[in-house]
Amino acid sequence: MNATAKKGQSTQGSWLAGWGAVTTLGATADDVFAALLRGDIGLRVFEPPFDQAFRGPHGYVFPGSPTRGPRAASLLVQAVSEALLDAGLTEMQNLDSIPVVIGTGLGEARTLEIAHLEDGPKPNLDLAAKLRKRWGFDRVSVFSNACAASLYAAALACDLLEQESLEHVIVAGVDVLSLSMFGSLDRVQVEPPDRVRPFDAGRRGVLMGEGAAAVVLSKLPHEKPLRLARVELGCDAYHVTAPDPARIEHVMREAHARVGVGADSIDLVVAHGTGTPLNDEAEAVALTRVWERASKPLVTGVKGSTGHTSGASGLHSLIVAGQCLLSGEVPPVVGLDVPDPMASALRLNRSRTRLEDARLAQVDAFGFGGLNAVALLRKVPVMRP
Amino acid sequence: MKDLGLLAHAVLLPQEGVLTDAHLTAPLAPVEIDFRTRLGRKGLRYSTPATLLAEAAAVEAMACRCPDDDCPPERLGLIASSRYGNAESVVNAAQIVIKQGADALSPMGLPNASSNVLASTVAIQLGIKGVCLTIEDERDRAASALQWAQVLITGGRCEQVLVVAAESDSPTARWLAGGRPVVTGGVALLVAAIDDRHSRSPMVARRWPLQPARMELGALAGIINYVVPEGARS
Repeated sequence: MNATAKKGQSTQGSWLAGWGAVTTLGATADDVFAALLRGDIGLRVFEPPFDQAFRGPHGYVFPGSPTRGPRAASLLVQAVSEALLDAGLTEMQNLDSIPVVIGTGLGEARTLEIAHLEDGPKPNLDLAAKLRKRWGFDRVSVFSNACAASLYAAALACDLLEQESLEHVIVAGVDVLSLSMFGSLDRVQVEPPDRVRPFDAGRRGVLMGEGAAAVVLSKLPHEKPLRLARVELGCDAYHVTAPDPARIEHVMREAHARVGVGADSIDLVVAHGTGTPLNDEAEAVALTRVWERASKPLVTGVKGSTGHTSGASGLHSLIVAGQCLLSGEVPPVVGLDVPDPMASALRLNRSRTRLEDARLAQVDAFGFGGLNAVALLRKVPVMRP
Repeated sequence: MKDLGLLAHAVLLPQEGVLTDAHLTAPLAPVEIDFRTRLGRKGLRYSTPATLLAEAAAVEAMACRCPDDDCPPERLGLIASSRYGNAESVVNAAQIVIKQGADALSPMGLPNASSNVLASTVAIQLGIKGVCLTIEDERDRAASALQWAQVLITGGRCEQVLVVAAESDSPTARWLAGGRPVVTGGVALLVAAIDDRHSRSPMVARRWPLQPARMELGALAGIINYVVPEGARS
C-alpha cells in the first residue's frame, strides 16, 4: 500500500480514477457517451411471448430480455473490468483487498423469477459471485437502494476511503429487468410510455433500462482531473413510491453547503429525469427553487436514451457528468419534445451543446421509498510539471 | 472509527419475550402479533409479513429509547436487511405476468417488487430522514450492517442508526433456504457512538450454542446475538 494513502487525505473528495459502463447504447463508457451525444435510443421490443404480456412490451433491454438476457452479475464484471483498466489497476498486487460497494435496485430478482418459473433448484442470487470469482474480492457490500442505489454506494465508498487507510474503493451499480417490477410498472402507468421523455409535457412514465456502471475512487490523483467532492444523502420518510420535492430541494442545498459552493458555481446538472409525472415535477420544482436567484446551469438527463437503469442510473449519470466536464460536450435530453411548463425555468439541453470551462456538475438520483442522493463532481486544474 | 454502543433493542418472535434455543430447532407457529395495534396504520394487508415484523420491532426499539437519547429525524439513519423478505411477492408476481399478463397484477403490489420496501416502510413509520439503506450482502449481513452504521456515525451523516432485520417463513423462503424452515421474526438495534456524555452499553455479541440449527435465520443471523440477555436462555 502506498505510504501516503493515509486517513483524512481526501477532505476535498475522492479522485475519480477510472470508469466503466455498459448499456443498450454501447459496451464501454466511451461508446455510451458517443451514442448519447448522437441522441441514440437503446429501445427494443420484447420477443414473444412477452410482446403479449405487457401493455407496453418494450424497454431499453439487451437481446433476450426479459428472461434470457445477460445476468446482472455478468454485466457487473464487464463494467468493473473496464473501470480497473481505465484506472490502470489491472496489474496491481492485492487487487482482491480493494473494497467493492455495489448499488442495485433488483439484484438477481430476475434469476430468482426464472428459476422459480422453471421449477428448478434454488438459484445462486449472489450478485457479487462473478466478481469474486474473477478477482477474488473479499470485501464486497451490496446495497439494495432502488434508483438511488449506486450514488448511495458512492457516498459510503467515499466515507470509507476517508475513514480507513485505503488507497482505492470500487463502486458499481447494476440492474436488469425483472418481470415483477416491469409488470408492476406496466400495470400502474395510465398509458404505456413509448419511450422515456424526461420533463416532457406529454411524458407518460418510465421504462426500465438494463446496464451496469463502475468507478474506481482513489485517495491519490490519477490521470482524470476529477474529484467527487460530495454525495449528499437523504430520505423523505413520506411515501413508498412518490417523491417529496421539499426533501429533494433540501438534499441539493445541503450538498452545496457541504462543499461550500453557491448554486451559481454549478455549470451542469445531470438530472434524474425518469419521465414519470411525479419524479420530473418534484425534481423540476426543487431545481427551480434552488436556482431561483442564481444563474442557471445547463440541465441534461440520459434516460431518454438509456432507459431507467435503476440501481446503476446514479453512476451512469455520474460518469456522463465526468465525460461532459472533460470533453466540454453535453448530450441533449432525448425524448424531450415539448418541455412541461413546470420545467420552464430550467435550461434544458435540447441539442448537443458545447459547454466551455465547466468545472462543477451536480448529479441527481432519487429512488422509491424517498431515497435521495445528490453528487457534486469537480474538474480540477491539471498540474503541469 | 467511532465505537458503537447500544441504546435500545427489540426482538419480536411468535412466542414473545424470551428467545431460546428451542425456537431454533423446531418450526414455529404462524405469527400472532397484533400489528394493527402495534403500528396504528392502515394498509397492512399490502405489506409483506417481514415488513410488518421489521416495523413492529423498530417501533418497539424506538419506544425503549431513553428520553435523553432523543435525536432529530434528519440525524437518524436506518439500515435494514431481509434475505427472503420480498421473494414470495416477486415470484408470485412473475407467475401472474407469465400466465395472465401484467394487467392481472394488483396495482398495490408495486412497492413489494422493490427490495427496499421493508426499509422505506420502516422509515416512513418512524419518520427517519437521515440515511436509509438496505443491505443485500451475500455473507454476514450483521457485520456489514454494523460496519456501515459505524461509517455513517463516524462520518457525521447520522447520530444514531437503527439496524433492523426481519424474515418470514414461506414456501419461497424455504426453497431458497435449501428446504429448511425460516425463522419468522424481527430484530431492531438502535446504535450510536460511545462517548463520555452518555452511558451506553458497548456492542457485545453473545455466543449461542446453536447445535444443530435446523432453522434458517436469514438476515437475523448475527444481529440477534446482540439482543439476547444471558439469563434468558433455556
